[in-house]
Amino acid sequence: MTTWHRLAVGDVTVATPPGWETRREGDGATIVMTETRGDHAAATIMVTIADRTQDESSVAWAQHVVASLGERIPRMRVIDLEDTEVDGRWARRVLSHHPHRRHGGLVLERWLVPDGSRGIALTCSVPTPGYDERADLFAAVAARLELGGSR
Amino acid sequence: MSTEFDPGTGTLVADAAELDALVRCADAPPSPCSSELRALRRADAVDARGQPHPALDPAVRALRRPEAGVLSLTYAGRTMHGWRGADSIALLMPADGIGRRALVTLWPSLLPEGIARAVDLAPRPRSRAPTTVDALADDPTVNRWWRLAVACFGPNGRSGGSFLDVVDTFGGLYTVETDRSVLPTTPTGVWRLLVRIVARTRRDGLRPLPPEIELPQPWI
Repeated sequence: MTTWHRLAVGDVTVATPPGWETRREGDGATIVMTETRGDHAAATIMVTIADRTQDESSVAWAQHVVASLGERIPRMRVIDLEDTEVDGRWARRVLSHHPHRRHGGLVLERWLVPDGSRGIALTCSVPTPGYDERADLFAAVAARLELGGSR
Repeated sequence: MSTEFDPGTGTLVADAAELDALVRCADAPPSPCSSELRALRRADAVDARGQPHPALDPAVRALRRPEAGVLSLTYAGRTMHGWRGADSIALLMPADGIGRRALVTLWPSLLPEGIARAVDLAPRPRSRAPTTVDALADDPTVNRWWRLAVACFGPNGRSGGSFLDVVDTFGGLYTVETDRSVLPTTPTGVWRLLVRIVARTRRDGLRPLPPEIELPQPWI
């Protein structure tokens, strides 16, 4: 039986897939988890929490995040958008692809969760050929995300 | 129309005779006086000895020796052919209505994205109910019907293959199954199948390639 460990960023808790390395970045508001497989095809999962203005609706905030990602990443193609839930809150899942100097192509799958005055992003990335094998794992991490706070 | 070559992207737009001359140049350069070679040289697609520009060389190698396999994508009344070499893929697709074709080189990991761009795989509403091929034949909401067929090559020749039929409607995406049933899917589901075909990690969800589906052959 493999064990998922849990890491907390404030009151947000993320489950780490068995065997993955973890580290904190920035002022501690970011958790980075990396698959340990010793090659360039390793997947990475990152949880970030940022302030958001509540002047924007949840949908508008998610659209804004996706648009700003597209402005920063050349030739990013959005493959899929899905309205879903994370820990009982509305979330938008975004699947995208872009060319990458090192990997050829990189797939990003993000769950964007607006939660009051904060925006939580679970970002999973993997070189394109590895996406199909990791997609269920990415979804499992999203399903285990616990947001804490008030509902 | 003149032959066009973009060394930045490695894309060549040429007619069939010029493409054939390009691929055969490495063995026996055609006569320097041939109109095909002159056109390729004017476009800087080959050098004075008839050798391909470095940006075209991976595509030429894949066309000559598709070690990993071949593929075809039929969409919107067009067919794109692909030759998968050891480290690159050559794609050949119609470029205009007068017979010219565009030769594009891709890294293998960019093939799913190349296909996604060609068929406009992008966010769609969620299709809900299974349907049938017959029901979709007259369905005005069908926007596009596309097929990707891939044959894999191994050390001993062709080692199998698979194909995927996708129906893109204004109400969502469907895949056609072996029994001609049509099941709802999502852009993510189709993307996973594209990646699966390219990475060759699993076969589930893909249909075995029947002999009647035509695929390109090694150029030489």
